[in-house]
Amino acid sequence: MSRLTEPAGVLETSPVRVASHNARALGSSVLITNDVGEHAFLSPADYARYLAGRIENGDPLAVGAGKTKGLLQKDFIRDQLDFNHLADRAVPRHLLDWKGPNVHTVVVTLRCNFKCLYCHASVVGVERTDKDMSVETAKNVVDLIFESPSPILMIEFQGGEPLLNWPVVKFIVQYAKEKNKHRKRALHFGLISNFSLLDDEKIDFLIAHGVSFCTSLDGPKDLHDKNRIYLGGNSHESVLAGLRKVVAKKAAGAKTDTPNAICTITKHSLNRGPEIVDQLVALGLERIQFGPLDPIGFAKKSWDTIGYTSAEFVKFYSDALDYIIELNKKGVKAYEKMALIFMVRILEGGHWRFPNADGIARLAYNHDGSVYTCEEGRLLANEGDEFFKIGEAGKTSFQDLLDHPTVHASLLASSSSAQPMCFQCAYNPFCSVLPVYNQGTQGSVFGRMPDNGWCEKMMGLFDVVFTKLQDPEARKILESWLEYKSR
Amino acid sequence: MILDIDVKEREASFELPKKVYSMDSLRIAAQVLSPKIDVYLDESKTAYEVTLKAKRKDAGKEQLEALAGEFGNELLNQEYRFLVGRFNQKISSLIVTQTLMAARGGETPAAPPAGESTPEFKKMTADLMRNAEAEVARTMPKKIPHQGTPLPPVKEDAGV
Repeated sequence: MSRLTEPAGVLETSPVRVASHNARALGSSVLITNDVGEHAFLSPADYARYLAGRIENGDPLAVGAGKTKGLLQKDFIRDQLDFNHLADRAVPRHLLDWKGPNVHTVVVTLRCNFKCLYCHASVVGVERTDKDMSVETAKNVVDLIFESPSPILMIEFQGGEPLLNWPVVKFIVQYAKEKNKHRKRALHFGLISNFSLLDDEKIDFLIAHGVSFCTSLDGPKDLHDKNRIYLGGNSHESVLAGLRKVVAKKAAGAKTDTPNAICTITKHSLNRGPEIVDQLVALGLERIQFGPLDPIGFAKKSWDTIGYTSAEFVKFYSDALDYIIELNKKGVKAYEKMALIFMVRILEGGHWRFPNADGIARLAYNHDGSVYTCEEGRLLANEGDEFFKIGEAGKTSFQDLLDHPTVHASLLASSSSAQPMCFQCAYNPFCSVLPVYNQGTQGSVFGRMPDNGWCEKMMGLFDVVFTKLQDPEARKILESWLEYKSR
Repeated sequence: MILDIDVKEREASFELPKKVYSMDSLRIAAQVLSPKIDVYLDESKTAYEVTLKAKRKDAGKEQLEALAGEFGNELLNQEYRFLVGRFNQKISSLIVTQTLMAARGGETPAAPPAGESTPEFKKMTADLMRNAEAEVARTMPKKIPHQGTPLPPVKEDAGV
C-alpha cells in the first residue's frame, strides 16, 4: 500500500513566505519538492522554521552554499519567487513544448522461438507466419511514424522475436532511411531481440545502418534458463553468443554502441542481485537495467509462480543499487538505468530522452498495423481489452491518432494535477503514472493510488534514491552517472 | 458502512449518505468494477441504497465483504478525484490542451516534402517493397522448422 508521509505535529504556516510544495518525512529528514521539480532536505526543526516563515533571505538555508542552491533559488520562498525561472522549468516538465511521439515500437511479428515465463507479448508459435507484419503494412507504419512532428524518431523493433521477420525489419530500416533523406529527422533504430537468430550477416546489416542492440539477460545460467525457455536450444548460451559477437565487432572497430541487456526480475531473482550484477559487469556491460514485472498480460497468468509484492521489488532494488554503488567505489564502471532516469529528473529537472506519456511521447504498432498508445496497451489488447487502440496505419491520420479520446484520457490520468494523492505527493515532479497499468489492474486509466501497486513501487524506489542522495559519497556516484545519459 | 450480506444470492447491501456521495461517483465506481459485480441502486430521501451482486458464482461471505470494501474504496477515490479535478481544473485543462496541441504539430499538419512525390522516390519505394516481398517468399516459412504450439505457463514444481 502506498502512503503519503507527513512531518509529525501540527505546524504553523506562513502564507507570505511558504511557497506551494509537497513534503515527505524521510528518515530523520523532511524532503520538500515543488511543482517544477526542485527539492531540498530539511531537518524537522528547520522545516518547522520554514513553515513559520522564519527563514530570512540571508539565512544559509535560503541562500545555499557553494554549488548547492538555497531555498530562494529553488523557489520555495513565496514572496521571492522568480516567475521566469518557474516558467522555464514548468514548460518542459509538463511537456508543454513536446514535439510529438518520438518512440515508435513496431511489432514485426508475434511469432517467437522462446517461451518466457513472464512474457508480456502474448506470442504465438514460429509456424504462425500469419502473425507477421506484411511489407505493405510496414510501409504504412513508417509513413505514419514520419507524420509525427518530433525532430527525433526512434523506431524500436519488438515481437515476438523480430528477427523471425527479418525481411520486414530490413525493409523498415531501408525505407525509413530513404524517407528521412527528405524529412531530415534524427532517426534511430533499436532491435530488442533474444539474439538466438543473430548471425554475422544480420549483425553487419544492423551495424551498417546504425541499429542499436538490446536483449534480455536475466542473470546466471540457471536463473536465465528458468525464466526464458528456448524452444530450440540453449537460451543463456544463445544470448551470450549474440552479445559476444556484437562486442567483438565493436572491439574490431565497428561503429556501434555496446549492446544493452535488460534483466527482468522474477521471484527467483529477488535474492540474487549481486550475482546478476556481477555477470553483466563481467560481460563488459556498463548499463545495468532491472525490469520489474507487472501483473498484466501473460505475466498475470503466471503471477503465482513468478510474481512478488512491490515492497519485495523495492528491497531487491535497494540492495542491488547498494551493490552497484559499492562496485563504483572500487573503480568498476557500471550504472543502473532506472537510477539514471531518476537522476535526470531530480537533478536536472528534465526527461531523459523519452518520458512515459502514452500517445504523446510513444506509440506502438502491432503486426496488423493497429496503433496503440504504448506497447503495454497493445499487450492489454491481446488479452481482449482494446481500450488503448487508437487507429490503424494506412487508415488513420496522425492528427486523428492524437485526437483520440483515449489519448486525452491517458494524458489527463498522467497529469499529477488531476490525480488524487499524486498532487499531494512529494515525488510527483519526478514520477510517471502508467494509465495502462491502472486499466489492467484496477479497471480505469485513473486507477486508485492508495492500493495501486505501481504507485507503491514508485514511492518505494524514490524513497531508496532520495535516501541515497542524502549520503554525500553515494550522491557523488549517482551524480557521476549523468555522464551516461548521452550514450 | 453497515453491510447486509446474503450469501445465497451472492449479494452485499449497504446505504450511503447522499450528503457525502454523488450519483456520478456511484456510476463510475459501478463501471470500474463491472467485471466483478453488478450494482443495483435505489434511494431514499437522504441515502442511496446499494446492492452489489457478485459475478463469480462461488463468491462467499469473505469475497462479498472484500467486494464491498473495494467498491467503497473506488467510490471514495472517485469523490476525491472530482474534488481534485474541480480544484485543479484550470491548470489541468491548460496542460492537457497545450501538450496535445504541441504534440500533434499544431492545428494544421505540415505538408509532405515534395521529394516524396517524385517518380524516383516512388520507384525506390516500389523496388524496396518488391525486394522485401521476394525475400519473405524466399525465406519463410521454409527455413524455420516447425517447433510446435506454444507451451502453457510453467509451474514452479514442473522442475524446469
